[in-house]
Amino acid sequence: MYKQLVRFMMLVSLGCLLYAGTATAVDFEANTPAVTRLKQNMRQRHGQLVPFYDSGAVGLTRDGLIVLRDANAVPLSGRQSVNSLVAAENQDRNALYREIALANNHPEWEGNIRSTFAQRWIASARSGWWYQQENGSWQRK
Amino acid sequence: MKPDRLWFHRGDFLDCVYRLFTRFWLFFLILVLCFPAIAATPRFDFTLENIRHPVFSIRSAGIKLIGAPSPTLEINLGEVAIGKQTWHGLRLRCNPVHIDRESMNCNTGTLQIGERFMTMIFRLSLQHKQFVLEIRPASNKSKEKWRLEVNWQASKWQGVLQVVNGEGKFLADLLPQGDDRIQVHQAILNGNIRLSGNNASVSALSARLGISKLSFSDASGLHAGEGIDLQLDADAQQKRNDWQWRGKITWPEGEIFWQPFYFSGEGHQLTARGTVKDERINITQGEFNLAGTGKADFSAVAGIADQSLQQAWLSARDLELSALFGSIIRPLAVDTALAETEAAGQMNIDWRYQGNDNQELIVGLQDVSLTDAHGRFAVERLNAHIPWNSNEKRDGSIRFSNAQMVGIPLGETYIPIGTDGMRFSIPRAEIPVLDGKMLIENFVASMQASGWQWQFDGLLAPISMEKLTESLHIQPMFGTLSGTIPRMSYANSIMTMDGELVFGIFDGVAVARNLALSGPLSLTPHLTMDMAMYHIDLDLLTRAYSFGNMQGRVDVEIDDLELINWEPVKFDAKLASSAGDYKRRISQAAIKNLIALGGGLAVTAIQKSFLGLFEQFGYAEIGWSCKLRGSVCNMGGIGPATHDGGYMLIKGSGIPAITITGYNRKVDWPELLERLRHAIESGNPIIH
Repeated sequence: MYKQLVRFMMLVSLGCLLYAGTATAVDFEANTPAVTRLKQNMRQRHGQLVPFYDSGAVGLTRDGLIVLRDANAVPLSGRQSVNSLVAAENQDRNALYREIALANNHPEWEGNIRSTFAQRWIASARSGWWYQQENGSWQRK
Repeated sequence: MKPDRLWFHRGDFLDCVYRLFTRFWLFFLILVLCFPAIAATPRFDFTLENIRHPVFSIRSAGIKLIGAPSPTLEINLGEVAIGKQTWHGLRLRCNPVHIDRESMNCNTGTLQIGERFMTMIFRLSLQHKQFVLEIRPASNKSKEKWRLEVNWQASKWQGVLQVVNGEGKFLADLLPQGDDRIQVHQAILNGNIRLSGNNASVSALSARLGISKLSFSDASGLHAGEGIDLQLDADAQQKRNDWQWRGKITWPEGEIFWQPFYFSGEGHQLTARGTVKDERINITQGEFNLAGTGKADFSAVAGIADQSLQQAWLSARDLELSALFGSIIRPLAVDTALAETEAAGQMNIDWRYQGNDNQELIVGLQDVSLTDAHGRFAVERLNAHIPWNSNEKRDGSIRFSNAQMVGIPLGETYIPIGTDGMRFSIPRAEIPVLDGKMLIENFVASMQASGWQWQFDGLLAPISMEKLTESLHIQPMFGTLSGTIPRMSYANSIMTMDGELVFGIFDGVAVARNLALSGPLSLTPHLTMDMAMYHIDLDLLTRAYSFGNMQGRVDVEIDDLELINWEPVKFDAKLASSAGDYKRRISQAAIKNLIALGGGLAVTAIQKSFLGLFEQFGYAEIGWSCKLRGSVCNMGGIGPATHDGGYMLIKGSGIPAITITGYNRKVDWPELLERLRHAIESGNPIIH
């Protein structure tokens, strides 16, 4: 009887945990007009950023943004436009995290969404691109 | 530069060099006087372990004079430190050195500084009161030469440093460096520097220098220059206790990136004159000419000791805004709507700074046009006079011939503005909008800790809804938009409207309330509001959309409407026949369109059989509701569900009558809109 009760309790607990896990799962693919617009914008910009990822001029930061990490890899006349590209991309990325959190009806999830995206960006980065490790140092993939 | 390194001002270093030079000469005179003794013992070896001075220090200084009658002079300095810069292994060797009571000559000397070897010649003549030093690199393909000549009479002296293809990097490395230092990678110097003075003090200097192929950068590359040519022309003279100076720098070639600015040398020129007195640099007259942009006159006073700007004045006329925007304004506005704005026209600036604070700024714009690359806004023939003073109120104005905001055209407008510190106001302005106008009253903007805030009261004089919807490229609507805006406010990046905006639409009345808009010019504008429309004429509505004719009146309530990027993502909408006595008819085409739209809509078999027989049908009531969540619309109709689980959209009445029932509770909203669009555009609905 005691064992059955314990087993029942464990099943209930497991069920609650599973439910809680399901209930709090973030829908990263939330598809609101804002998310669609931002993704479209970022997709269009990505082609312009790739050469700078390849050269190591631009790297992926641990907080889900990008940064001009080695301006010396860009000709002087191009550094200003890379700056603008980086600023525009970061503006969109910040908006994307905020919009996905809003689409999930949990604005307070923005931080977690950002962290998850940071890992996703790094995981999907091409070989040779630079990313920031947890301790802040830069690593070439 | 720290004040103690401003040698021309403090004189410590010069004084020290002068003393050192004198002592060095005395030392050699003693050597010369003792030469017979030296000749007898053909070697003189003298070592100083430490020479310390506040400006420099020398460790392990060895002086050797070997052999006779043509002795060799060797001076070895183990370590020389000036400021934070240290050199090791400085070695001077003269073989032979000719020394007598009147002169000392070295015609085949070598100088080694670290890894760098140079040939050296020096001549010191007491008879002619002249010292000449000439240095060339050992392997001298570039024909580099540094020549210093000093002549003196009594206490007066003058010196000329002549540089031919001088390696500037070597010179730059001698300068004091900070932690975030900028490395000079290359520079070639040509020209001369003339100095004259009395005893240990300098009384005049002039420099005519050309710097070519200058390249520099910091470690991050955020401050860098390449291929720079500079021409420097400067003079300074001491008059009693102050220095009077003038200078001109011309930058004809090369490029500089100084985060976030980029400039290329196109003949930019800086000229200035002024004084140095009482620890202050005073630029009495300056002119900065930025090629392609225009010129600015300026003056300034800066403290040397605390490196502070004490007062400044700048005035610029007819600056080309297109160039100014590209080089200065856009880089500073990367996070704003101006980041992708093209500008043209002229700009005037007057700026005054005093007591560590901005005192006055006057901006003038002449025939300026601003165009957003994304088409979100544009202004044509913008003329403005915007004065600002830190202590007093100022009045200015803005005028433009035409503009557009999110596609809505604005007509010629005059806006009077007032400035009072960080508070800006517009007492009253009328802005023509399409065929109507917007009246703005009591506009006040101020800078708060959370950013800019503003508010105004407004009034919309009738604006054609047809023209408005056409401008916004949305579904056409008919009627007029007008009403009062009790209070429109902007704070924390959100624009909100108090009260109700009332406008006429399809012969009915629409009321918007609880309006809040964030990021109107961003990629993701958010709009939330509640909206209600009363007594809408279905005849006008259906005719406008070519939907098939319906006659009657409806009330619509849309609560919690949320638009993201101008597309609805949430609302609770209810549509119901208005109360009252009016004609209630629906055409055969409208019924077919409704059936086509609903997909799951149904009419009874009997009704279907005579649907084609009549053009018009009667009805008693229309009802429809939609709770939109994301892209799914949860639909309902008149009253509770029917016995077969459907919901009644049209309740028939009269002869012939028709009743339409819906069965699909969940409908994909974008698909519904697509069907509606197709039905309106083609007039031929798709029948499912």
